[in-house]
Amino acid sequence: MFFVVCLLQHSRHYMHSPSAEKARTHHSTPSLHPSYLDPRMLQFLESKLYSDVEGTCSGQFGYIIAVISILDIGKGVVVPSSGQAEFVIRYFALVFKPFKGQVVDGVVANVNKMGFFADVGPLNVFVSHQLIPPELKFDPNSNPPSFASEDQIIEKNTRVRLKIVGTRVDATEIFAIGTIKEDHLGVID
Amino acid sequence: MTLRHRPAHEEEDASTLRLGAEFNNAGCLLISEVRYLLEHRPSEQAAPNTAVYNKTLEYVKTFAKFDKPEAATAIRVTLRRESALTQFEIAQIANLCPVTAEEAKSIIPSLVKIDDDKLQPLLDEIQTMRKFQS
Repeated sequence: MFFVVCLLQHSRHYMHSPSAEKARTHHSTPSLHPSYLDPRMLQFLESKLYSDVEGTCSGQFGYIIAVISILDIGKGVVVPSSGQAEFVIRYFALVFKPFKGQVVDGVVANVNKMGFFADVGPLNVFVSHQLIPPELKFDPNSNPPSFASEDQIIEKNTRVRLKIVGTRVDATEIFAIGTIKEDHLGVID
Repeated sequence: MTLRHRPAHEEEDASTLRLGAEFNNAGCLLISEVRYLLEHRPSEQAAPNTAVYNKTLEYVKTFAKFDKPEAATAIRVTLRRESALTQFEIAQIANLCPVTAEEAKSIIPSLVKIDDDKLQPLLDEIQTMRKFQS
């Protein structure tokens, strides 16, 4: 499911590059003059936000597809004994998170005798042959490989409606398992 | 392997509308609305060239059921008339466009709470709106 959510990002930035350089090598505190909060730095923080966050994935919010708008950038708080200030940025993001029990449409990406993989937006869902109705049998001779019955065929680029039966998250990806072995699921004309 | 101290994640289940604290009141988007959002980014902001973004853009172009944002708005107005529907259910109905109440309750199980004679007219109206998009 696609959502727009308000998220928080803690972004660290050197307050002023030359003196931060100095700070790192000579262990001196950089100047904290407010004039460092210039439009260039705000722009830098914005592009850092985009590159840090867009395209990433977490278990909590799913895939962060794009930043929609930035709500505010907080005042920088200097991190002790470093040349960096930390900014808390609040922004709206478009995210995609799959849920167990959710029915979704997708496009078949590849087929093998164990089942097929379908792309549902940024997510890849595996449908095992055990969760494909038995009338659809793997055809080892077809090119491209397919599951076929008398009147239907599942191959690369076929559109299917499937139900997500489970998800698992690791550091950068969500893995999902699906089924088409229920009413109203399967090939979409 | 670290222990998961978030058993809540294991309890998430769309069929009972358990979406997790972050999403229980979140704005769910219609696929058509996502397409509009992605195709109308402010010109200063370049589209991220990530696999996630590109796959999403391709997906929403393939599966958007309504071509114009006005159509998506009209669908929301129609479905909002049924106050028992949650954001998630509204988005699922609009994204999947079930034809009958029986199909709707099968693919969106939380809809069992709504009588067929309330649900079917809504589904019929959505089918009509789909058919008569200019």
